[in-house]
Amino acid sequence: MKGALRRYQVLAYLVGIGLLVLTLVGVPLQYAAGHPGVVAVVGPIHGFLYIVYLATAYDLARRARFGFWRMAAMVCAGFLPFLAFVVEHRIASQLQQAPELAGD
Amino acid sequence: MSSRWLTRRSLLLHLAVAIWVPGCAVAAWWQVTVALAGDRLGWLYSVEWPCFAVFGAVVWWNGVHDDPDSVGSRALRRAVEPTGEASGANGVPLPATMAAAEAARDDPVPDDERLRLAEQEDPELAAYNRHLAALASSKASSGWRLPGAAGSRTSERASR
Repeated sequence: MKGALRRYQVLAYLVGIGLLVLTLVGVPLQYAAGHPGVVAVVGPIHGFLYIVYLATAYDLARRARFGFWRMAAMVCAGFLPFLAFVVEHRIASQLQQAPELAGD
Repeated sequence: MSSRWLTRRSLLLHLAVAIWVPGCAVAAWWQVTVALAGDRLGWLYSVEWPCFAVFGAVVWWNGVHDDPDSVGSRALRRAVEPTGEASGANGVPLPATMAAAEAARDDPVPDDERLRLAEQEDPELAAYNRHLAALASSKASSGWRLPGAAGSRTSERASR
């Protein structure tokens, strides 16, 4: 469980940062300044990381027995800017109080 | 084919997956046409959409086979706050013997003995403690399936 949480946290941060770069830097550069370079590089990286993120998020969700809405929040965190950090923080702070994580 | 496939929850899951998987297939094909038109980013998305379809199918399969009472926010709250308050966050009172055991924490009777006695008089508490113990064990991944016939359990394993 602890390992699953760590994997999820790492991927949540990577996806969250990638999405911020994409939406706050890449997309304005492409459509306002006509430079598609950032989107062309970060877009595929984010797309690939999102799949890995989904796998780690679902792994954690299964182990911690999350319900539908918590899983939906984890899924949406990959494509709504800033949501990844909010969801990650809430899930991590909840799970770190769980008895099976306090032990080791 | 057992009744777990026909509950309201399962029927909603069937509907969702019946929309999701063909939707992903259409999106994947659309991205193939985008890629063939010259946008190389389309190749990535034409691989990604089938991955989303598989993900949806896994969620559907697990959703049909999970025990609805042992997943979700209530199960998590119970795991996070096993002995915190006399009532859960959603207002459902914990078993009375648990509250009593919590109040009598300084009692010289050993915890294990009191737990054993409490479980004897309250099967619900015993079930709840098994639930917590299963949560604490990392090998409990299959312990919270709906109980089914042994045959269906093995065929489920074999199909993975």
